[in-house]
Amino acid sequence: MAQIGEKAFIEILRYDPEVDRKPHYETYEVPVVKGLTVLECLYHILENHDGSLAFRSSCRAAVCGSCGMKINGKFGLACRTLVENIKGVKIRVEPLANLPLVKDLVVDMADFYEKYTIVEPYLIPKEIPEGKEFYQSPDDRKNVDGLVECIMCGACYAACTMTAWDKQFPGPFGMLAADGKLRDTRDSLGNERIINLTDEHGIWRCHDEFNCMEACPKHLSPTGAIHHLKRESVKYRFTSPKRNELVDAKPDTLPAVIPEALTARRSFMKTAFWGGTGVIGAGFLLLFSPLFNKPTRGWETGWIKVGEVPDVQTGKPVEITYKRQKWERGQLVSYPKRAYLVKNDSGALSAIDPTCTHLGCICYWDDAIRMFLCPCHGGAFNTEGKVTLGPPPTPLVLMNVKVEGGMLYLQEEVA
Amino acid sequence: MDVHAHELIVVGGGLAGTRAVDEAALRGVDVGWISKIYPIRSHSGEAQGGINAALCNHPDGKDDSAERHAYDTTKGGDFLGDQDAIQIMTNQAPITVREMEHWGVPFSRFADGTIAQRPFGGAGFPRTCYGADRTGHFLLHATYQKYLTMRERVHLYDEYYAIGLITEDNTCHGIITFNLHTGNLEAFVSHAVIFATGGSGRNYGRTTNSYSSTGLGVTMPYWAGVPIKDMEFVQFHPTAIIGKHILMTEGARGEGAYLLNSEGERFMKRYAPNSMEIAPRDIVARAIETELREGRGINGEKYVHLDVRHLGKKKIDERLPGIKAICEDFLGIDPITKPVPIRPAQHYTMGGIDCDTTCKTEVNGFYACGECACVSVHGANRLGGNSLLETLVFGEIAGRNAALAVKGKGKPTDHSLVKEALRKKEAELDELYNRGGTENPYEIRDELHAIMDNEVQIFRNKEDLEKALKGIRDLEKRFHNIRSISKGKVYNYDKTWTLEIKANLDISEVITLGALVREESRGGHARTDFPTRDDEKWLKHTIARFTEDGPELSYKPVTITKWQPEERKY
Repeated sequence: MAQIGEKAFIEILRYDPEVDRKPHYETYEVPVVKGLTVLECLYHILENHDGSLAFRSSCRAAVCGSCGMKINGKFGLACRTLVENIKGVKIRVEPLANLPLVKDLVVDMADFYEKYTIVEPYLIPKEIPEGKEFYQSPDDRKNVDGLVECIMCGACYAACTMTAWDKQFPGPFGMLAADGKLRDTRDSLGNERIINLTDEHGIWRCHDEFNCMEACPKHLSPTGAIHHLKRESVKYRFTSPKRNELVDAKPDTLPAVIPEALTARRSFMKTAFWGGTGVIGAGFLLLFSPLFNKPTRGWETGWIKVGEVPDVQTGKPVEITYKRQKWERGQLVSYPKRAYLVKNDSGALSAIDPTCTHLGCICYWDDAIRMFLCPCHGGAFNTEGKVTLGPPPTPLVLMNVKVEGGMLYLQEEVA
Repeated sequence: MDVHAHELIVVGGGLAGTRAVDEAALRGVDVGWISKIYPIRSHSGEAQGGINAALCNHPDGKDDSAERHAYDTTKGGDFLGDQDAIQIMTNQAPITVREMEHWGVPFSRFADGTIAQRPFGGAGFPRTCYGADRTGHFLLHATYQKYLTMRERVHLYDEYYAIGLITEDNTCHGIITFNLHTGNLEAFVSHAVIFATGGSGRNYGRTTNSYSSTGLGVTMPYWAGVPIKDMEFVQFHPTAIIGKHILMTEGARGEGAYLLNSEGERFMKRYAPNSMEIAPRDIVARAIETELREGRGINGEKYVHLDVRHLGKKKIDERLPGIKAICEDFLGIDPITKPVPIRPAQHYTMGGIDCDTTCKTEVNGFYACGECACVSVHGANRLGGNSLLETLVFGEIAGRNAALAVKGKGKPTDHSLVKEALRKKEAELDELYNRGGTENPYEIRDELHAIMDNEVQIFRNKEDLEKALKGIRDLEKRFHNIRSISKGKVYNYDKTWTLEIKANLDISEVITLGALVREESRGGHARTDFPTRDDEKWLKHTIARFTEDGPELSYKPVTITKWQPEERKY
């Protein structure tokens, strides 16, 4: 711990896009005074050592959320971090992760703000009471405690591994905002807010790593909010009498106040609803099968015609999509699925089911590192489907492939 | 050369600016919104205690009214406020607060489900509506969320510094901005410009204001010839934590907190026997400062205690969670078990860009609202809970009036003035950033802070103010000899801070000169050598105009509609 009167050594990630080819670290000495914060250290450096140091700040009281950054490996606010509370005299300061670096400690927040809009963070009331406020009991107001205090500093966003892997995941802060409006008794959107968040980039992406909670300088719990959304989602999946209608809802039946840019996404979300909650629901369907009139008969087996054989190069898997059918309540329902076609050195085709063998997330092919990556917990597989990194216990499942008359057919392994 | 054209330009991302943007966008106007920080980072979000409106929800507030609110505001401002403006604001207050509630602000609630209200300084009834002690944060986020629903009409340019007005023939045609992302100057042309750039607290070292509240937004029009008003009236908030000067809301005292000196005495009984701790801010701040001067600071140091312990854990957790977090984060103490060390600090700029009740200024097409403006509703001292109200009411008025003036005109196509304005500004900045001298601009700023903190503070006198004025003018001279500023283009904060310090110096000069000339004590302006209010000579607004040789002062009458000046007793 740096004592008052001594010096603290602030090691800062420096990167100037006009000069540097890549970031590097520089260390500056700052005299320690009582109550010195990391933000004040940065100002000391800007004013006395290097005027080109770039960092954002405004309120210096942990309410504006400008100075989110990484301090000795932990995400938080520079203004709220007291030098005297840090072990050792060396403090490493780096920009927020998961956002493009612009200069020094400044990152491009455009994606971050854009994701906030995706969750429709504004109140959408049905009817506005004339000449008076909405009546809301103190208990109902308490319902949104812990959900409306977010200062959008980006600490949770930077700490979240899901945000790192899935570029479309709105991030913990977005989910927190969504739950805040879902739980607000004045809001009229109700379960529509959930549909909005149940696609493959939504709530089910979260795997309870609690990094967001640990990082949050306001002690909020985005994980808790996501859990609430998940519970509501499952409840809704089984109880809403109108769920089928909602799946087919057209954008023009939505409230007029929603901006055009969002309605396109909304309608996409609606169709994707079955793909998201539905997949989870599939597990529940097995459990609840006695509830239904006709017994299900599970997945259809047999060969599935995919289409013309795509052009596949050796060592470069190609993603294909196909529909697999399943019996549900006496009807065949189609589920979109993905697979990867791989050509090996001898020119033979094989197909890989990208469902991760760890917890069932869908892996994707990353051309840069030439591996299948799992967005959930960092699992990775090579072109043969063998595990190269992370927690998956077994290789990816290979599928049967055949080509007949120029058409490609797939068959999932029958257990 | 980058030229952006919009029907209307709004500068400032705080509550007043955001409300003005919302209003103009709701009215279908094409808005270019410029803010030097992303809107939700603005200082409005730091407001804690609440927003005043005579909703009559509180059991003790059933007899409250907009008129009573106006009277309290007038008296609180020591009768310097324009009473027509005050009445516009207080009449609109209940409508505004309910509108914010409809927009989604999570106000705290009474048991009957209505918006909760608490007592505040200088108010005859408990009329301050609050959302815990995060009212500003909630309001700012709700108005920002409203903007998100209208993004097709509003183009947000965040991290663009407005640095100059484009004017000709007493008409504003747009602004010049410094694009922080690229370091380039970019021009914006429009039919009207609204300034909502906030206060100038960072002229002081001991201030509750954020780093962003520098007053550059007041200096810009001042340099362009728009007069500024009543700048000598600076509010010192009684309760800022020592060291970091972060605000402890007046709501704490509204909920019943005590102020205690070294003898454990509730000393306010000697200064405001009826109102005690919830007297207006100027009176409480002077009381604390007097206690300190007379040696009754805790442990002989320059602070007294704000004590909330008797309110109990439940009430503090429920209504004052924000200040509890601040105490824990920055002082390492828990206010539930320990009293909080506090001292008054600069908090609010009553003065600002001179404008009328429609937010229009002397220059056509140039509007101002919020803390950067002086309508004037706060007079010589603002009441707690009236600043959030002012930003919303006058933000809406500015947005509406500007929208009505520009609607249907389309984006301006005449860019003839831009080239010359850009060239001039470029040359000016080029000179500013390449002086190659020896002075560190940040040291000049620190010295300015010391002058303002010590000589232009709560208690003022001729000797101090003359010394301060000379000191500021010396600093201005030294500023001509500053070192060259770092050269990078991308996110060069060195350049923006240097510009802000230049603004600090000019605004400080106006504050100090106004205070020196005004030989009376009124509201936030207390002269030990002229301890009483002098209505005969000084019931008038100070107007300052920029000249090359320093500010030129003149005066303007106060609008009185209902209430003649009377003695202020609490």
